Amino acid sequence: MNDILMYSATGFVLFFLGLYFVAFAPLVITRILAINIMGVGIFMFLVAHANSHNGVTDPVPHALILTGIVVAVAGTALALVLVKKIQVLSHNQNVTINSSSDTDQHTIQHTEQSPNQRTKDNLHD
Amino acid sequence: MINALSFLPFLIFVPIIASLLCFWFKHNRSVILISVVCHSLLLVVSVCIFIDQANITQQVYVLASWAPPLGIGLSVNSATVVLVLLTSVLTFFYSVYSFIYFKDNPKQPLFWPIWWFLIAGIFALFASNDAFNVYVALEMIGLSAVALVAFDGSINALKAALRYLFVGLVGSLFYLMGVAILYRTYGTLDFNQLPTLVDANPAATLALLFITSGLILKTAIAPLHFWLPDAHGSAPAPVSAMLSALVVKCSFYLIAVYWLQVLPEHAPKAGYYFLGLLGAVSILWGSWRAFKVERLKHLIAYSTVAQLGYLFLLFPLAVQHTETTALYGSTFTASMYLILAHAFAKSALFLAAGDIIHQYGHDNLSKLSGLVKTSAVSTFTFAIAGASLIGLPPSGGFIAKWLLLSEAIETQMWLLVCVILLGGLMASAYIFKVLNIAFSTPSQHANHQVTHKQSAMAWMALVLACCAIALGFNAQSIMAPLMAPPVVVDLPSVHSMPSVHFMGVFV
Amino acid sequence: MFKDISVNNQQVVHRDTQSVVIRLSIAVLMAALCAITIYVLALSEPAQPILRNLALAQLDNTGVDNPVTAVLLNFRSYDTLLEIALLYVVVLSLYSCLFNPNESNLPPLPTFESHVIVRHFLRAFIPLIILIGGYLLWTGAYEPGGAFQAGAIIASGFIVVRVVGEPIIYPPWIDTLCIALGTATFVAVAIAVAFFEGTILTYPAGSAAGLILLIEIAATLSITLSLYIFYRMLGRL
Repeated sequence: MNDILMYSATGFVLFFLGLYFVAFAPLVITRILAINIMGVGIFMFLVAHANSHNGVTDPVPHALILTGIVVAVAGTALALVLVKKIQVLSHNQNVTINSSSDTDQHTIQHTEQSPNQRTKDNLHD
Repeated sequence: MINALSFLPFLIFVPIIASLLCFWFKHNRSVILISVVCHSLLLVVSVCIFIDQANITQQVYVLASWAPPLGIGLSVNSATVVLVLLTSVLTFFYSVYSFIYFKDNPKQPLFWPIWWFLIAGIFALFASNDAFNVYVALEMIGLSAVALVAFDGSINALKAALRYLFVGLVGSLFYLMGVAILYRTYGTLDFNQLPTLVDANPAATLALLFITSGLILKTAIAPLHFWLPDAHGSAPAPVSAMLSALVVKCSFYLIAVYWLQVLPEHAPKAGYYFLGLLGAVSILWGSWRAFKVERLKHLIAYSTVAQLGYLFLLFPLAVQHTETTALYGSTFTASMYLILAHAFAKSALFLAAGDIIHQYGHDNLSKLSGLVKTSAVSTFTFAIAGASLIGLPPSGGFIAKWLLLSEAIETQMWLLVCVILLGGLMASAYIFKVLNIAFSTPSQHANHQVTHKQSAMAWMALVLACCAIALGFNAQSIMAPLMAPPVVVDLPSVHSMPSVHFMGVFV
Repeated sequence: MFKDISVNNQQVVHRDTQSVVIRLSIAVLMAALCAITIYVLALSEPAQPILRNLALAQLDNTGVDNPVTAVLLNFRSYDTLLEIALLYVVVLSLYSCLFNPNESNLPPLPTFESHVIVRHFLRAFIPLIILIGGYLLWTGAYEPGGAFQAGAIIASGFIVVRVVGEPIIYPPWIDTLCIALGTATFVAVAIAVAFFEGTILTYPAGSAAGLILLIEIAATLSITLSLYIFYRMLGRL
């Protein structure tokens, strides 16, 4: 019983760690990874309890996890393509994005420099 | 008569087949044929289910012949028969509108498969009777909605879609964690079996908290609404209408199912009041932001936040009546009525906004003066759909708010009475702000690029707005099935309908 | 949350003390939530395994010996159907995100000359990968394995070929057909059996094993291609 609790505790820790980084990670790729880690936490919790009765495995959580993994893969692929597309678009032109007309959100001033300029700036740094 | 229960799988399989066919047969004419056939099938099936609801709300369609909890069941209750019918009718309108909206778009062949899959997801969610299956349905809705928000391809739309995707994924993961805890604690995922396994287990309350926080994020209630205006404002018009009218209602419906049907025994009483508080905050904050924003579609989107707040008043009101802590009764009827009225009015607003954007090329409120001259139909649509949002008689929105208000007065929750009245006033403020701009004389160089054409899109929006008004005229027939308790055994008398005598004034 | 989604790697993060305090307090809050959650779960007993007993009791009637496959493709086949359809729609969504009106099909990824050792190694390796995929697909009926595992393995083989720069050439109609093949087969089987048994997805007695294998083969093709397309699209941007 104790090791099951340990595994599920680890699952919850992973879930909340993922949640923290989804909210606060500076890079969008980290956020995508963090969402996957949240998912892994849930799967870990499920699979820990699949084995809790007299050593005979419960197949249902395993099936749920397989379904969940495919959904996670699909979501990750969509997120990655959106990110890359945004990256490509914002490198091609100087964009100023008002995230919304909403003032309770930060207005993103997203003035991209041209690649040359940026390299120069990096050199100066 | 054939048991309408056997029609239930049609609701999910017909849209999926339509999606596949639209993917393989891309030509405009075949897409029209497929869509007409499938939409008519869906309408017929939903009407059959609606008519036969007295028989089938007690039964479960057992998929794969494995009885739940081992297999998965499909079922409808008195709420979902209405929601399913609403979805069939509205998606039919949206599809016709989308044909006109995307007529010259080379990307159109990619729109239809995703669109039909979104419809399949909504039906799958309403018909589902299994906690994990609901998660899959949520993801179906979430991912296809993200793809449709990004359909435009502009960088703003992509950013809104990315944020929407993050919110959707985190929300469904919270939901999944809740389901995992439920499965671990009760060993079942079936909605019918879960309430029978009730015991005083704190883990169930924990699961409920996870599920609710995930779904609140997906419903965009006040502190967690930050993603909605951008996502709904950047999407193409028919998609915005679908998102505001149906998609956010799906997660609201799920919260109601969990708090009122599946786990009411575990729900902390304070939780109902807290949900109501969130709703009240949403009403006030959403209306205020709607009044302040500069873009027409953002205004409509913020108004969605406010109207969703009204739905959440269901919870504190329901917990006051012991017999309405279920998916029936007078308070629940008020919420369902609000869903109907809001769905029609909001669709009309977004579709009218789409027409305006088609004409002006933008939806910047400050440059829309003189709107009434260039697109009179859209302005008229805006006015009457707005009347339903405000709750002016004789609209559907009026009946819904009247029901809510009388419930609040009856249970002596004076704070809610104030919020409902104030919300109505604020709604009139932002609606009349748009009308004021529309009727003002344009400045000299304001509308240089306006194409003067009365399109079919504007008329379709008008039809929906008229539906929102018409809902106010036959309230009794729509509400009667919702008032009845689902089980016919001895139950305390159902509340007298406040609208019954009231309707006499207008009919 | 998500207000300032930045996609640039060179983003400089300014951390003033206020935001550090906010982050720290939220981190502490989350840790507390996590601790409470674990504590509550430690207090309550897990349920009796109702579903496990039911599933194992009915295993002989499912046509497969592996209980996980039985749950996936027989007891809860509806979930799996929706999820394969989800994968198909996400592939379409990627097409929609990368849509370019000037080109009808995706242009091929750039190829380059790979090292001779790598090339010879691949020549031996790829058939092996496909064989392992096929084995995983077949063995899913008896022990852990199945369509997803097989699809992932074969797709990884394709990606290895692409990573070292070798071209994979096949006609574009295979994309159009195979993306939807898994969903289409599953839906067709689901509806076809309804004519014999009266309920959607109910396999007729005796034919369950064959139908499950049919669905799994189609699903493997779809999953392989979907995963490979995910890679191809990301590489193309």
